[in-house]
Amino acid sequence: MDEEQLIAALKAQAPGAVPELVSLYGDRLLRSAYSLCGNEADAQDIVQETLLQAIRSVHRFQGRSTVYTWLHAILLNLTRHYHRDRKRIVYDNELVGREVSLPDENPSQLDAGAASSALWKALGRLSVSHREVIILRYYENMKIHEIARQLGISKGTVKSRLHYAIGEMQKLLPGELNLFGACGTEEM
Amino acid sequence: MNCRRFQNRLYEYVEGTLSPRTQAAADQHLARCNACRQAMHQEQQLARVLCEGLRHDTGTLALRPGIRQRILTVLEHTSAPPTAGEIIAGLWKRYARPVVIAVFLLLIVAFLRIQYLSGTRVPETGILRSDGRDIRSAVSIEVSYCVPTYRFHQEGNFVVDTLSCVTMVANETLWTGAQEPVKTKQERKMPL
Repeated sequence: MDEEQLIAALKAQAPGAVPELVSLYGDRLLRSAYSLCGNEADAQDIVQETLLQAIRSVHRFQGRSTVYTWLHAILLNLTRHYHRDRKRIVYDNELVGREVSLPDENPSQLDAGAASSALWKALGRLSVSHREVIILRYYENMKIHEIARQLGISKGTVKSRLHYAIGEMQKLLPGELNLFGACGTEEM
Repeated sequence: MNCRRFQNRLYEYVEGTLSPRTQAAADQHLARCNACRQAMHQEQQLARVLCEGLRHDTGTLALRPGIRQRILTVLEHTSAPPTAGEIIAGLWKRYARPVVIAVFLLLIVAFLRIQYLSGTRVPETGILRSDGRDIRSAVSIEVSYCVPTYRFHQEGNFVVDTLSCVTMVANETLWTGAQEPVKTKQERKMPL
């Protein structure tokens, strides 16, 4: 079932449409929600609410973007409500509580798990607006104009936020983990 | 294309969304600029490190199996059209706060307009006399004038004339507004 057929089935309230929507986009939305809110239980709730809102408002979907982009816009809005309600972010203990272990024999190379934990920890300390652009750009692989449209800001603002967010992340990461590899720092 | 223009378009260059003309200019600039080539490699490296690093811990995340059933259950319970009460409650919940703020602001504006813009201020408390009038709004006027009167009478073979003067005094109080003036009139005879 392609996207058009899926939307048509949802509008017609066909019996298999909702399970199809959940199986196609549920896991991907969950990973994105988790990256934005940092808590798996809350991410599950946010995705459930995202899918419910999408199904209820499917008649307003006009096909000007992909289904995932439309779903992700709803998810982003709900995540902002989530942050507004909680005021501060508490990342999942499984990630934040994990100590970043630095191998002694080769300090220039972190293993993938430690690097990932360090990245999540640094990401959790960024402001919501900076975290959003990092996630959309490097996790969702969105293009600059897509991020601008998704967040309702200009392309220049997206680039500016990315620049400051990356600089902030680099400061928060251990010295062994250079975001720019062997090339140097972000300053150009 | 110079370095500044290239670095302003670095993200678009890496993602391949530049126009063909700009892309060609950027390629030409990259061929001769080592610093911009390094900046492009840094951006590519950054994308790779962040993408792999952030996906490392979330790759195994999956939606709970019960979510699909919960969504279906919720949809079944909410498939009936909302009642009028539910619609009103929803509207109230959504718009109550802005409406209250707007009404409050309107009341403030209306009060200010009545008080200051129309010029009808609340009168100040005056100093009242016993009859209830404000003495600061009254002006007392007293006018006096003489009216001469000649009288003639015969005394033997003479005619005697007598001049007398009648002084008329009029008091009046002028009031601001439409209050009735108080008039007093006195008459005094003064024989000359």
